[in-house]
Amino acid sequence: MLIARYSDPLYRHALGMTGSPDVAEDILQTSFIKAYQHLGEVRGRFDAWVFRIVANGCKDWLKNIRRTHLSYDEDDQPSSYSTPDEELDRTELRSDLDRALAALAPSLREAFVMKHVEGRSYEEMADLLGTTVGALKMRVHRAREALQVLLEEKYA
Amino acid sequence: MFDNLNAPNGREPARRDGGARQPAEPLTDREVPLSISRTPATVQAWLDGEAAESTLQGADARHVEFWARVNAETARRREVRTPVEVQQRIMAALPLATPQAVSPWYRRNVTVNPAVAIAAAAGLVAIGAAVGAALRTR
Repeated sequence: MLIARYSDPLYRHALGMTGSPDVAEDILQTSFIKAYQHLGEVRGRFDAWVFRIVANGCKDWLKNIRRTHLSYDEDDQPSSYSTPDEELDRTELRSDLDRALAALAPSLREAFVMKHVEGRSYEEMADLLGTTVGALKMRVHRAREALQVLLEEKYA
Repeated sequence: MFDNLNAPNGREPARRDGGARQPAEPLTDREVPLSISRTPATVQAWLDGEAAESTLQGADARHVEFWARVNAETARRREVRTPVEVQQRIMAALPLATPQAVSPWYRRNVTVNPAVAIAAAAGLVAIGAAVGAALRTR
């Protein structure tokens, strides 16, 4: 039940951070097993605790792996675009955004993913990451700047 | 090296090239992008949900169009769900043994049976007798 309840936001976080469904699935599985084995050590909110396990798993993976290009290969989500041109454009933007996100520093990527992909408020982010709203705003703003620099030539 | 006290700002920057000044490279040849603000503060505020789109100016249109496209993509990613087979795989991978709560020794319940109580009492009496004997010998 805990898995069904918490897996979606955690999976989105891992997917946003790693850019790879396979890696995100592995991190999610490892994190849930770790959480289950240490359930007795939970102090405070379970969702924040398990989020930290997943977030640390993503950071460890980023430290260890030097990525070249990974994209969302498994696209079973319904498309809201109708014409082939729009579909092609969407696919291109998707892979370009993946590449641009991969070029960001992990802390900036984490802040951007939590704000834009996961749709969290700054207060919620500050609560989960144990930092201040001001610091997170700064990270998100810097991530946007960097992404716009990386993608602007093609899309702006 | 001495500071040039006649320089307009009080000191000259340290030279590492033996004093020979190189002509400044044109800005267009710089490899490192200039740290100019690409996303205006009004657009940042709009993206943060702190300002309405109506507050944006005409000059921001390019940024708004760009971020609308990025937001459409991030909104699509927000709908991503954990594949069902992944949830099943995680369930199957969980250890069968129920995890035990780990608590510090001082929070654990202490059970005392008669044998332990008698042993503890005997130990205390022995310690008391030893201390008494030590005091008497002084």
